[in-house]
Parts: sequence; structure tokens; C-alpha cells
Amino acid sequence: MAEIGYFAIVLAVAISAYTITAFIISIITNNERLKRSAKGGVTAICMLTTIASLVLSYLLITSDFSVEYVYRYTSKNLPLFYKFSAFWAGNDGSMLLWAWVLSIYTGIVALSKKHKEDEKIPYVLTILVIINLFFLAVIAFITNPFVNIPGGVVPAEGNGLNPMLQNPGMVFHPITLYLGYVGFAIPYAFAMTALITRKVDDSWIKVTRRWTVVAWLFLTLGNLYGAQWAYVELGWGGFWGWDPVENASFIPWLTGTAFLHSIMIQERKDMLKIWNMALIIMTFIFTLFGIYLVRSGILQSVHAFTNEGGTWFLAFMTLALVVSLYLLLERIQLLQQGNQFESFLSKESSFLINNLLLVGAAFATFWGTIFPLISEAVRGVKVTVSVPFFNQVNGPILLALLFVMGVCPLIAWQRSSMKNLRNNFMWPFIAAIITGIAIYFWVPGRELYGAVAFTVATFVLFTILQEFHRGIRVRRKMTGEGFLTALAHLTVRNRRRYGGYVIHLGIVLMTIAIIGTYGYKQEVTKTVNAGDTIIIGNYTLAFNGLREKPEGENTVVYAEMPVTKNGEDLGVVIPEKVFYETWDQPSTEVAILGSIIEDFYVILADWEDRGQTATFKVHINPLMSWMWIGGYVLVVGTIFSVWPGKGSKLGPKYNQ
Amino acid sequence: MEPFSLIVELILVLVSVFLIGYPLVKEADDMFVEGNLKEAVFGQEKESVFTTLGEIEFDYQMKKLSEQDYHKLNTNYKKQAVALLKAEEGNIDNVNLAQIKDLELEVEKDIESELEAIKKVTAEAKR
Repeated sequence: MAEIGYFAIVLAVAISAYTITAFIISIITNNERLKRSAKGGVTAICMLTTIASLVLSYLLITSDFSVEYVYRYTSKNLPLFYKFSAFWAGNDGSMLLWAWVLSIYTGIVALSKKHKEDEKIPYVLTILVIINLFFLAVIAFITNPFVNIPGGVVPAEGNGLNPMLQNPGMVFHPITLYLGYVGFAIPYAFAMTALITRKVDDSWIKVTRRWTVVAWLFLTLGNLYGAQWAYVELGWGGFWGWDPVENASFIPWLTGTAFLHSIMIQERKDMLKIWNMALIIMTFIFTLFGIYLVRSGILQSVHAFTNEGGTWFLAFMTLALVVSLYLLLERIQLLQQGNQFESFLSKESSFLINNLLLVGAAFATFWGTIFPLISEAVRGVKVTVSVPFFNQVNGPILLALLFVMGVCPLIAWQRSSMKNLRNNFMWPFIAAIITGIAIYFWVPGRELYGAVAFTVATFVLFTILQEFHRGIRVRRKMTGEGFLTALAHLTVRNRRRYGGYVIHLGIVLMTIAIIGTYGYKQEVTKTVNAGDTIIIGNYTLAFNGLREKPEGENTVVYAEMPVTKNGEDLGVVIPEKVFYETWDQPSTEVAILGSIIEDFYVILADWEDRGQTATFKVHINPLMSWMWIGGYVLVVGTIFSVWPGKGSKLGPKYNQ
Repeated sequence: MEPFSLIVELILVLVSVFLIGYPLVKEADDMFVEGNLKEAVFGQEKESVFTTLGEIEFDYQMKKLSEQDYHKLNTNYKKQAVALLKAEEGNIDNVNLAQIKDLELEVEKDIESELEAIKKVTAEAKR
């Protein structure tokens, strides 16, 4: 069966080579039949990568240990769900997933009726197939997941899946991340086509807006699922550790977010054309940088694979960067045409500030990530850039960004006057200041930075609420509709605008969670004997000794710990350590007692004296659940804004 | 190699060859129609202008635009909307500059008279 998968990949390499050649010749000779044949090639690549992926899934599900990849990442007793997720547990499978997703995306572009009459599509498809050819070639010659087990003797049992990956978050995290990463290849291909064909108007932006938003959504979800996984599975008490691989997915998210906002300015005002090109090139290159970082073995990370194909990725990334920059510089004269900023007090100016902050955060993160490498190359000393650097640099930038997020929707395109600003900002500003002061004086700890951050977050929250309130009021005045009808018509008919506000609302909720957990977190590490209690904040946690139980082939060591808050019984938390039959390292199962106010988070760290003495790390993470609630709000807002229909179509164009 | 694998691989090759080979021999059924594209671009332009007008009105009502900016923008985009509507009524290609200028004058006249009426009402209210 494995040979079918490998054959499909090799055939896909050959078909990709043909497709690229056919597209190029058809463009030069304007040969319609050859163009359609090349489009058929895109369909064939899509079919072949799908076959290869189905074969790998089948091998994983049936525990065919004659295939090395299946042996390395699964075992017979692994639940079906995780057997399937082992597809992307290793480097080889994740490369296939990448190529599969890209071939499906390319197929959608090729078969879309919307693009049927678009003469630029052959260029777009050529670029996408070139990217996919690289991935397919790497799979065929370096990271083949269909290789048979060395020696030919089929083992009776597999190595098993890393227990840390046996978590729903880790099932969805890679796939959503890849859907996001690969999704940015589409606007990149359209952007490069615009440069090649010298048609640098906003048509490529209009066509790819939905692709961009969906790619951004998946990348956001990928980061969010990763954070959720780290929170419940890694057992260090947090959700984001500024690990190089985490940064590798955060950097394109930042530049992608900047791109998503700045294309609105080009769309409406015919401005920032060079900037938009630069942003999409950056975003695409950063996605490749992410793959390179994970596979090169140059940085240590809990998420990294060993060095497999890293050098090739570096070469491909460099080539893509050089070609993209050459095209950008070659066509820069065309991109310089367009409108100019009319006023500093305008929506477009606030968008530009938003962009500069996002890109600033991206480069600060990038610099912090690669600095150990540069230090090692220049001075021979590998310096560690850790969490405080990233928090200190990115904290203020992201806070400023949040403030701009509140300002941006309230001012008009072209120009705003001081009177307009006063009209729009006065109430959110007053409400935010009152909230900030109240938080500073009422919340224990008197955290100034936390109170300022909450002030900014609540300012944005109130601006969003005010936008909805005023919008409904104006609509009711203009149409005489009832409150709910006005709300429904207002939002549905302006889905881009109000979907955007809902996304901002999600971001605000997530920020509130970040401020709460970073600014007001309480934590204690304590070694206790059976019968002792741990007191933290208003919580009391009792330890009655460790117990042990078998769970299938695994052994679980756990503590049943009654919890009270202000004397009120909250039930029992059970932190665990699981020891696996097929894996050397035990995994930590964190016990969380969550509410919308705070998470009570308990980790079993160590023990001695046959479990009569144990060390626990206990955290109180305020407002943590708003992180996940905000994430869901963001998803709803994004889907709402891109859902097909009149309200999601192109925005207005201020061309004067 | 197992016969099953061989058969499947053969099918994969045949399907792939069909997908890239058939369009080479098949007659083209849908040629590129320039007219459709022109109409689509025109439709987008029209929709864009009308959406802009709607947004200007909404932003003004939301107190995001000053009175002066509102009138300037509104006049501007109304002119464009009228020009596009007239162009749609006639032949898209036959809209010349002189026609657009006439329409602009017409719209300006309308707006001036509207403003006069507003001023009168305001003056009367003050009395």
C-alpha cells in the first residue's frame, strides 16, 4: 500500500513539472488548449496528493508498522483519533499535509468560476505550482513518509505517539496552523502576478481578500490552539513561552494582520501599494521561515523536528525572497502612483500607525528569535533571549496597538476634526479612565501597568459598544426600525465593518485575559506532607498523599486534593503524572478549576517517600478563560465578515 | 510489487494523463468574453460609488464627518453616481466628457438649491 502513496508523490512531481512548463508556454504563445491542459495538471496534482494523504491515513489507522513513519509515531493501543493525528506528528507527514493543503487551495483557484475569465490566473497557478513542486520534491527525495522499516522485519508494536501530542489541542493546532500558513501563499501568488503582469491596481487585493481573511483566521486559531495545548499539557502554568517555534507562527500572524488592515487602504484610497506588496512578501517569507526554523535543528524547542530538509528550505526561502524583492524593485515606479495622505487625523493614518506597530512587534520578535544564532555566528557564544525580553519589548507595542484599535473605527476616512474626535471619544475615554482607576484602587496589588493596560482595553471595549449603539440609533432614526431589526440589518448589511468590530471585541477579550494572567497572577511552589494544606489567595488545597492506578498499559500517579475558597467547598482537583509503556518521559496532566473570574491551576511536580511527600506548583490565573472565549468571538466575527452575500462585498472607494 | 498496487498506479497514471491530455484535443467551449468583464468592472464601480455614498451618509449621522466634509464628499460621489447611472442607461462606451460635465453641473445646481432651502429653514427657525 505504501508504494501507492510514494508513486502518487513521484507522479505529482512529474505532473507539477509539466504543469509549470505548460503554463509558461501557454502564456508566451497564448495557447488556450495548453492553458486548459495545465489546469488539468493542477487537478491531477490535487488528486495525487489526496491519494497519497489517504494512503498515509490508512497506513496509520491500520497500524502498518512495515512503514517506518507509522512505527515511529503510532502504536496499536493508540485511540483512532490520535492515530489519524499522527499524520502530522512527524516532519515527513507534516510536509505531506502542507503539500496536500496547498494543492487543494491551488485546485480551488484553478476551478473557481469567478476566475474563469481572469487572464492573470495562469500566472498565479504557475507560482503556486512552483511552490508545491518544491514541497513535493522534498517529500519525494528527503522526507518520504512511505519509507519501509529498515531491515524488513515488521515490529509487533509501534513506538507510540509522544504523550504530549495526545491532546485535542495538538490535533487541531498543526492543521489550523498549516491551513493558515499555506493560505497566505494565495495572496502572495496574486501579488507576484500583479508585479509580473504590471497590473498593480487593487484587483489582486479584491480577489484575495477572502483568502487572506480565512488564512489569517486559521493562523489565529493555530496559535490559539497551540496556546491552549501549552496551558493544559506542558505544565509550566502559562500559555505562551516565546519559544522560537511559537514565535515562528506569531511573526507571520503579526505581518498578516498588518497586511489585512493595510489592503483596506489600498482598496479604498489607492494608497500604500508598495507597503502592501512588501507586507505580503514578508508574510509569505515568514511562513517559510517558520518551516525552516522547525526543521533546521538550529534552535532548541519543544515543538521542533530534527534537521530534515532544513538547508533546502533555507535555499528556497532565500530564492523566494530574492525573486520577490527583484520584482518589487523592478516595478516600484508603477507602485508609486496613487493618492497621498490628506490628514494625520484620519482613518488611513491610524491604519498606518497600526501597521507600523504590528511590523515593529514582528521584527522585535524576529530579532529576539534569531539573536542567539547571530550571537553564535559572530561571537561564538550562544546567548539565550528569554521571556523578559519579549514581554518588555512587545508589551508596550501591543498595548499601543490595542489603543489604535480603539481609535481606528471611530474616525472617518480622509480627515477628522477635533470636534469629531471629541464627539466619538469622550464617553469611551471617561468610562475607561473610571474603570482603570477603580481597578488600580480596588484590585489587590495596585499594579500600575496592569491598571493602565486595563484602561486601554476597556477604552477599546467601550468604543466598540458605542459603535454598535450609535449605529443602531442612526439606523432607527433613518428607517424607523425596531431595536433588534435595526441591529440585524445594520450588521448583516455592513458585514465587513461589524464583523471587524466583533473580531476586535474578541481581541479585546483575549487581551483582558493576557493582562489578567500576566499582571495579577499568583503562584506558589510548595513541598507538603500528607495531611498538610497549601494556601494561596483565598484558596486552600489539602494533600492526602499520592495514589497510583493503571490506565490501560500506562500508570497514573495522582493526588485527590479537596479545594476550598473562603471556606466554601469547591470540590476536588486531581493533578496527575502519567507513565507510558511505550514512552520514556512521563506527561503532566494539570488540574484546572476554571471559571470566568480565574483559573485555579495545580501541577504535580515531584514526590518522594512513596508519595507521602510531594511538591506542587499552584497558580491562580485571573481571567484566563476569556482567552478562549475571545478566541471563539474572533472566529464568529471572522466568519460573519467573510460570509458570502451583499454585506461582505467590496467596501467603498474614496478615490478623490 | 503487488498486483493491486500495480493496478492502482496504472489507474493514477491514466487519470492524470486524461486530465492533462483531454483539454489538448477537446474543442474550446468557453472563450474569453471581453464584454462580460467590462460589465463586471462597471458593476463593481457602480456598487462601489453607491456604497461610498451610503457610508458617507452613515458616518455623517454617526458624527464622524464634519458638515463641510460631508457636503464636499457627498456632492462628489453623487456626481459620480449620476454619471454612472446615465452611462448605464446609454451605451457604456459612449459616455463622453462633455456629457459628464453637463451632469455634474446639473447635480451641483440641485445641491445648491437644497442648501438654499436648508439655510432658509434654519433662518426661519432662528427668527
